[in-house]
Amino acid sequence: MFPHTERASDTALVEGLALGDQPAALAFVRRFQGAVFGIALSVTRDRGLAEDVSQEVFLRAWRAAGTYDPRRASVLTWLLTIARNAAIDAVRVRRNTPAESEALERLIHDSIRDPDPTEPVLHRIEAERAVRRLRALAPEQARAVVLATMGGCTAAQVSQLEQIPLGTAKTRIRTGLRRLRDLIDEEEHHE
Amino acid sequence: MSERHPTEDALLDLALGDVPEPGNQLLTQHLSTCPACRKRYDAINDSIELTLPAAPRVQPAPGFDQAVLEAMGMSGPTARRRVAPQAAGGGTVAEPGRAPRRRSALVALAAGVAGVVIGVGGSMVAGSLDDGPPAATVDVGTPLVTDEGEAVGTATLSYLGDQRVVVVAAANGDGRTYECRLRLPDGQTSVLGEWTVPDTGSTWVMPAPYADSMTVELVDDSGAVWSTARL
Repeated sequence: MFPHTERASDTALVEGLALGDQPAALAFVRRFQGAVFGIALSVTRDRGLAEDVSQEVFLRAWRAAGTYDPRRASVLTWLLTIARNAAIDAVRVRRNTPAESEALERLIHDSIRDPDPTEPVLHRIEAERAVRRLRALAPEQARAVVLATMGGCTAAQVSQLEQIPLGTAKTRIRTGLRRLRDLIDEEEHHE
Repeated sequence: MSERHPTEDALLDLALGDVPEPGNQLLTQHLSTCPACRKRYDAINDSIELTLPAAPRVQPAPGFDQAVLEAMGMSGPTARRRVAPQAAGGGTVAEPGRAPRRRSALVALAAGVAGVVIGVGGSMVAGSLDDGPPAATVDVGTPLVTDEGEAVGTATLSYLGDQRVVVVAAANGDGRTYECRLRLPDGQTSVLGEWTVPDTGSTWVMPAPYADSMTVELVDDSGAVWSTARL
């Protein structure tokens, strides 16, 4: 059914996944497993739990593939959103996710550097845009946003990690997200 | 009837997954009936979602893809087509059952490549995953060398099925943990994973990018490069 899965578009792979086509499903998992496992690991800081979460993410995507709407989000964003939500659910249930400052510092550093050049082109473009927007924020806002989004931290955890009052943490996250929204709107306006 | 609308802080907490029940359900119900609040919430959530592609990529352990297909019931030659059970109404995603861990596949793979003789020419066969995909033939080639010139293992590009992989066999690691990263010709690096290398040695198989050449680097926890192999 999908003899050229390596070159198939992301949307075509989702369609193949919805149809239960094995080559499409395999190509889909291989294409996105680095992104899904990456966000799951960023949130959980636990490889074993991140593997469980990642597997569950692909199962959720498989079940929801028939309802995927490419007008709402790219496949990458759709899948990363499922992954972030699943990882947050997992760590909130566990309630003992280590707030490892070293791992989170690394996450902040890695999130605002240039994307992996081996990424598929369209994924790299999406990543470059996201990185560019983060770099446009004030540094303290970018840190708070990365911790709260990719790190899965609550505002209270951001407050603790950054050693700032809770209200300040919320303001940095909220203001950073609002600024990102403005930048997204500007990009859409120019397209 | 007067209705209380959630504060910006409450909407932010909801978007960050930090509203315990029953508050979560109450907020969600409100958003489903209040377009103004829904719009405020969506603005926050959209910003979060469109930031996620910046998250660093990390490859899971070898065998992950096969474990996922197995959980979908698509592994093996008789399972080329299997449609997912749809959630009722088609709009909601049902909670999946506990999926089998992929660790068993990893163990099978690790066991299959155990006993590698480091520094010896020839080839080895990377073991099969369960009884499914074909084994990968791996040429044992490029030495993994420390700054002092000591050969501590090998690195090789190969294929596992149609997946391009890099096979790294290392020993004399003093039980320390190393990060394995690939350095591409333009200087960009990609982290494949990290593991502990006992003196007795261990072998790992990781998905590899398509590039004309690359250098495998094993980096210790101080950030120093312990050994390299140019492929």
